[in-house]
Amino acid sequence: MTASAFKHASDETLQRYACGNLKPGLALVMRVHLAGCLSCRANLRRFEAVGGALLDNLPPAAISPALLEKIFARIDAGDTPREARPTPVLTADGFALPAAMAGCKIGPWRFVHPKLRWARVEVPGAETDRVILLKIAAGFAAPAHGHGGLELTQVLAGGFTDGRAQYEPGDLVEADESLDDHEPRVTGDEDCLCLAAVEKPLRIRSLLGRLFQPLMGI
Amino acid sequence: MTAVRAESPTLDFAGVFGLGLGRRDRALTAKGRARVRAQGEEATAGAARAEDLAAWLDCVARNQDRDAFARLHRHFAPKLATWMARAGMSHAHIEDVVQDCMVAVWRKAPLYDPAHGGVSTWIFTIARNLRIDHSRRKANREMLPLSDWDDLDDQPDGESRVLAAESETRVRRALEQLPQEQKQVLIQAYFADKPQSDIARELGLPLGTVKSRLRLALAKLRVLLEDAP
Repeated sequence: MTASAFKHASDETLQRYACGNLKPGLALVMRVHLAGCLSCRANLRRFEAVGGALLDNLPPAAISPALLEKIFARIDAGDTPREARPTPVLTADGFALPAAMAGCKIGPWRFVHPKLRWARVEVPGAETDRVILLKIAAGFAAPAHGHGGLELTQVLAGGFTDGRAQYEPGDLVEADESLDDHEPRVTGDEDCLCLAAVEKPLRIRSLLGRLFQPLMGI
Repeated sequence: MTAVRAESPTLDFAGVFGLGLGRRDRALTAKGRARVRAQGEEATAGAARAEDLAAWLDCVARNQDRDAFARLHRHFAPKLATWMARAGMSHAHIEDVVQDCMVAVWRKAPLYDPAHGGVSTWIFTIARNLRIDHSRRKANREMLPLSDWDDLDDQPDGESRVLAAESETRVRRALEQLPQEQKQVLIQAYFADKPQSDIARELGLPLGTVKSRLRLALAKLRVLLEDAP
């Protein structure tokens, strides 16, 4: 695997996104990434096309013969679909968040360390999903942690390295239980802002991590 | 066979009884049909042809043609119901979501852009988004509806032209190249919304085998669909 392969979504994650099987929190991070990544978007289209072909070959289930009439009745009644309300652009710490995050609620910033702050991101309809904004000051290394499930991190500003690759804004970092514990380290002089979602609680092994986990609830 | 094809650009009753049989299959003997049905998901010959689907949707978009819409409904509604059932949706909600999906197909028909993919793919994404909306609404929240194609407007560059060339026929051909054991896991991954460990248990396979079969299938499909002919 080349370093650039680490900056994009895996086939498995794109496939889960394509068929709607990714939890809302993880799907949010994917939407933010896809909005800025042509190559992942092209791969998503491919996996959606596979979904379309597979749907076309599914065996039929019995449906009510009256269903078509009900559909025509709704069409005739002309009930309009709900309008998408315009949602203001969210900001966090003066930073304009990606449009794909519209509708989310951002909680207050909390310090777990002088160089490490986080804010909870509430995804509408999926408030228990573990999604956070993470702001890490230059030079700080996040605690080493393993993963008990899929973890997606989108870099919004600044940059960091985890030993596999150097990540810049727009890059997606995907990690799961097959990955050894990694310790992301912020590079450059700029603070690093990330949007992260995890499927299951992290297994944080270091001392800071053990402090970190109950505080952050992830 | 030719005669059967010639009479059917506008009429297709094969799907009336939910058999999902397209034009080509009506020329089959009764024994042949039974064989096609027995093959279930393998019955690629049992799908309506992509051109038919596009023609029907075009009639809906241009003329609000209800006959054409009924044909799309007969083709897709029973398959969508299968998907929702496999994804664990309760019986009471399956027809609601199928109904919402077909109403959306009627309303959005003029917005369908063949450059983005085939009709099956378009309906797949509509149903996917409605399924997500449905599960989020269960959480009792007022939700912003997800747009189809996720509002991701591709730039009109080389990439989207390549995508436009990825006809459903090509995707089907790519699927035919997968070993049966990979295809089985792939279908589960798409339509059964459950962890891979559950899929492994149901198929009586080790988890690692399921993971590697899915990984191989997806990588192969990606490569086959990247290389435009």
